[in-house]
Amino acid sequence: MSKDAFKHDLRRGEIIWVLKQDYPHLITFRHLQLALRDRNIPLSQRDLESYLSYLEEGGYVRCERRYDERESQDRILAAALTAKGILLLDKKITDAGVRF
Amino acid sequence: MAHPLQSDITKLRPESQAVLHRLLDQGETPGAIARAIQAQTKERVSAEAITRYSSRYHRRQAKQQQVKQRLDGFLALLQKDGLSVSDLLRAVLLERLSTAKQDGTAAGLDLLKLEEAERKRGEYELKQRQANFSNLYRERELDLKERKHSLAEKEFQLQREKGRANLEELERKAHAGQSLTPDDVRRIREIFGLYDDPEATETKRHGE
Repeated sequence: MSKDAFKHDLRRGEIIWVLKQDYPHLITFRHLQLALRDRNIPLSQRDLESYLSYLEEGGYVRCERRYDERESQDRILAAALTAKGILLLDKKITDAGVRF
Repeated sequence: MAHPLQSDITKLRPESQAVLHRLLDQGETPGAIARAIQAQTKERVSAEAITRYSSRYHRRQAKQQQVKQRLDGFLALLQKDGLSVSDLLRAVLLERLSTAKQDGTAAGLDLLKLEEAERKRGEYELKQRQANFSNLYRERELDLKERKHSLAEKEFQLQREKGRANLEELERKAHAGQSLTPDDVRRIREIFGLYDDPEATETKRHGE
């Protein structure tokens, strides 16, 4: 596995961990970005969106989105962990793209 | 002198960072964290460096927790009044309060003032309700007294009527020449509290 892939897996794991602290509540995108920065994981908007989208597709998080007319795409407003995300964190299920 | 493999906290590899923060969140000691990082990632970091870092980290986390608790407390007060706040709004408020604390602006204070105001309003409402209840109780008490007084008045009137009726009968008997002395009549009047009307007495005296 490449170092980059490993890094991305770890970052997705960190996102899950941070979201767990507020489960089952939503955390805003910006707040999540700041919380990750506090853990020495500075992420750009694009990177965080891509990580969250991956986790959302897997059903581990749910995202509140709004359509940004200027960018002509959906923006993530906030995210929350799901029950499936809890199982992933507890290692009752695994995902090749998430590492803790 | 620093060990060649000893790293500054912020320069730790992502996997070491993950271990560090995970164990800090779990309340592990700096020594245990340093050993875990070395065991899992082969990276070395001193317990002292972790101690320094952890005090700042835990301070930030504690502030965050405080903000969250105050917000949730305020939202609970609103819910008691039948006002519900969506989860998204809660998230936005939490972010706003957290960033206000971090950058030292007073933006969050409005919400905290609202919390104080909400608490005072709740206390005021309670006092109002207590006052209204006291007033209601006093009104009911007054109403009860009035009714009792009214009953007593009616009873008194009835007794007066009864006494007057008896008196008239006695007067009739007396005027009919039956065996009843004027003293008897006067005594009876006194008993019933019916004193002579001065004008009527004068008219009678002149008539006799």
